[in-house]
Amino acid sequence: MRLSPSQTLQRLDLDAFARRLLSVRRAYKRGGPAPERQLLYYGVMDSVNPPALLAVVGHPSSGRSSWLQAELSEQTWRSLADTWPALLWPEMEVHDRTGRVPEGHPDLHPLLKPHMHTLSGRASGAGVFSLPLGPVRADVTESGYFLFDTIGEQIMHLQPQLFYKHRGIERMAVGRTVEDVTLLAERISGTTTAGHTAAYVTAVEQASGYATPDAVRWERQLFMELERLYNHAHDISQMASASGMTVGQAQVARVKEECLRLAGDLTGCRYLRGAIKPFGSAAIDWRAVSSIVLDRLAAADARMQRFVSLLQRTPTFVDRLVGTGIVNRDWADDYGLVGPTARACGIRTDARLEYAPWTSDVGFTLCVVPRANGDALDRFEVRVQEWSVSIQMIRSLLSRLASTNHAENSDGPHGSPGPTVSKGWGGGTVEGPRGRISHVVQVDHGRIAFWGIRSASSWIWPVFGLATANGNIQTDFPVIDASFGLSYAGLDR
Amino acid sequence: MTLGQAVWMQGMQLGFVLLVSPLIKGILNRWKEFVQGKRGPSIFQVYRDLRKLFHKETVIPEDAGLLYRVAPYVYFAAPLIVTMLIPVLTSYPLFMAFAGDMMAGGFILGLGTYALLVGATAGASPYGGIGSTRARFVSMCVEPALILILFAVSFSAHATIPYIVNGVMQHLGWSPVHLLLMAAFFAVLLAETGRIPVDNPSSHREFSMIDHNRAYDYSGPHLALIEWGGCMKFVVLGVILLNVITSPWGLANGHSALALLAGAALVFVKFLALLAMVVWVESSIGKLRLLRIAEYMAAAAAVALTAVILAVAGV
Repeated sequence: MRLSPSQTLQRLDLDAFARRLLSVRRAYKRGGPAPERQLLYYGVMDSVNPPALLAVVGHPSSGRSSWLQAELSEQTWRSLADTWPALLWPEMEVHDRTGRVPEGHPDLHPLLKPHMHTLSGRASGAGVFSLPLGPVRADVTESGYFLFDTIGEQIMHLQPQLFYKHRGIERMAVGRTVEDVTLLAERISGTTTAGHTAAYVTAVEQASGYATPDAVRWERQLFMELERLYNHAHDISQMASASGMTVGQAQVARVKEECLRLAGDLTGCRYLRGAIKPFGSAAIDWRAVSSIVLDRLAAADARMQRFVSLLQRTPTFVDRLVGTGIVNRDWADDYGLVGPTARACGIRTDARLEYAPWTSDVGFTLCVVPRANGDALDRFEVRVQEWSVSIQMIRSLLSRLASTNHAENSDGPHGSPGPTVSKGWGGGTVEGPRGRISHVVQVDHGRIAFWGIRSASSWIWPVFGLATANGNIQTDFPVIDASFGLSYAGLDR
Repeated sequence: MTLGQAVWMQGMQLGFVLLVSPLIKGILNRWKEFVQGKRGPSIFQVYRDLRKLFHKETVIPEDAGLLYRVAPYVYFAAPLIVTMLIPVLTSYPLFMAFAGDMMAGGFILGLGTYALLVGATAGASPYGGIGSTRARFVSMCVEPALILILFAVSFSAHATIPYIVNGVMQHLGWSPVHLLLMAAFFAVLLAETGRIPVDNPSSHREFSMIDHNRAYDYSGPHLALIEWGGCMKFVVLGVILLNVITSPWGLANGHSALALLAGAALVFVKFLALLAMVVWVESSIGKLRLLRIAEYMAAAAAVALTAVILAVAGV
């Protein structure tokens, strides 16, 4: 996301703010290959008095963004959630954090404090059962509570209750130095460490008027692609597991492990913590390692391709996925869906295409599937394609990085100009494994004054309940769950 | 054969099913993991798990009644009773052989399954209920195929006593009826013991499980009995497939202990072949959608029906 540090927020009154947001809503409603304007961030600044709503609207065609702010001076404000479902959860969050009430919100209840709210079934009648699942679940699944209304095997309604892992990370950061907050950014969601850190660091560097060297951008993108590789391998393995394909599960999980070990050997951390730093230089001398990395990637890729093609040719596997957990295009537009889940519906959206067009020079191509039914099979196919694209991107990024002189780039903060502006706003938008991640920061003399995080999962979670309920049966739930592959921690923060 | 000898031999049969069944499950688990490219647990892991469970305390849901407590014992006892009706180690009938035919064996196993699903429902956990309804659905789909298999057996053997049936099957000598019966019973065995494509025994996903859901509330020795009963059920159905329907080859003809031990070893070898088949199926196809189980069992029933028609026609 390009945002000049001098650009100020547009301070609007609540009515004008609402009008601007509704024009974005119309852009989503218009359909087409992808919305012309996107809501990158919606949240509240609760450290100022009175608290203020903050929205960042992205313009994918130009890669620019507009920043809107409106003070919540009254105890209530007019809710937009009834006309724009994407705001249902963000408005509840504002309510929880400030106590200001969104008037006309269709489903207002405590969101950030799940222990203060008891879900009850929505459906009633003969043969209707409410079935709870979680928050403690089998295996290594994160904490989330799901209440199913079922009739026989049919799922009628699903209410997810999340935020069991709400740590208040955004508030924790206020007043801390930019470098310390990097550690927090790495811990928003374990499986999206590189994505969140890259978005945070980009935002901080923009706020500080720092021009990021090319080599550093390439290196960050490489780490993000590596992260995508192991996340996609994990999701594909989970889909194989959910449909009982034991060999596929084990072998693709092995591919994931190979990617994690590669990340661990490169950066010292399997989950890429400590790899991306603000105002940093390229961390690794890529000339020395590039051939080893290429060899190991080729081995992982060969195994992946072999077992994916075996899965694709197994009728029982394909049968479990096809038509399961369909996301229809209306929901995708209403909730501003992002990432592979959106691309499986045929929406041509990808933050790399929209806000980092240079990635097309290093092998990025947008992956959409021709079927575009938005079912589990499409989500599987999109991930399979993206795996290959990421491998290709890592190859070309490696050749670029290996041809630059590491010594020139490794001078560290002393050699680079460093932060040039002491106060300012910045935004960072990247494409994580699950979709678009946006961070918004306000930096004041090297310390964080405000931090807003929108993970990909936060846009997708509300759709998950809808996609699970419509026409699916209980035994489909594991397949749907695996095909969405959402992060709980990234939403909860 | 004296009565004492007969009792002793029957004891050997029971001992084989009781003590070797966890080993057979252990080998199956290890082979399955081996095919996935892993080392897999020790083949004796099932014994260790049972020992662990027997040493644990039992936690019983508050409102669970007598049915809940009795169910694991019934489920455990059922395969042992069936063991006495079928040729596990010997090719000649033992003293309980004429107490019940294959139909009775099916009913007794069915009683164990029924007890478990009533017990699971009595535990009042929603998952127990789900598991029970799904298990009921699977049994309902299995039933026609099973009955048709029995028809085909009785038409071709003019008997349903396992010891007589296996003698006749031997002379069928891989005829179409024989092969079709083997295929149909193999499909029933996979469904009844909760293997892929009907249920995924290695799944940990609460929402899609069938067999494991029924044991969700059970703990400690109760759970051990259910697990052990499951192992024995697999062996009993395996014995019917291998020794009754396929061929009595390898069963002991003599009355000496040595002959019986040799019989046990050969039956074990036959089981290894069966396990290889199960592993092959489990590793190459996925778990079916719940409603497709009906189609799968309908296919098995169609195979069995063809066997019936061929048997009646005397091919």
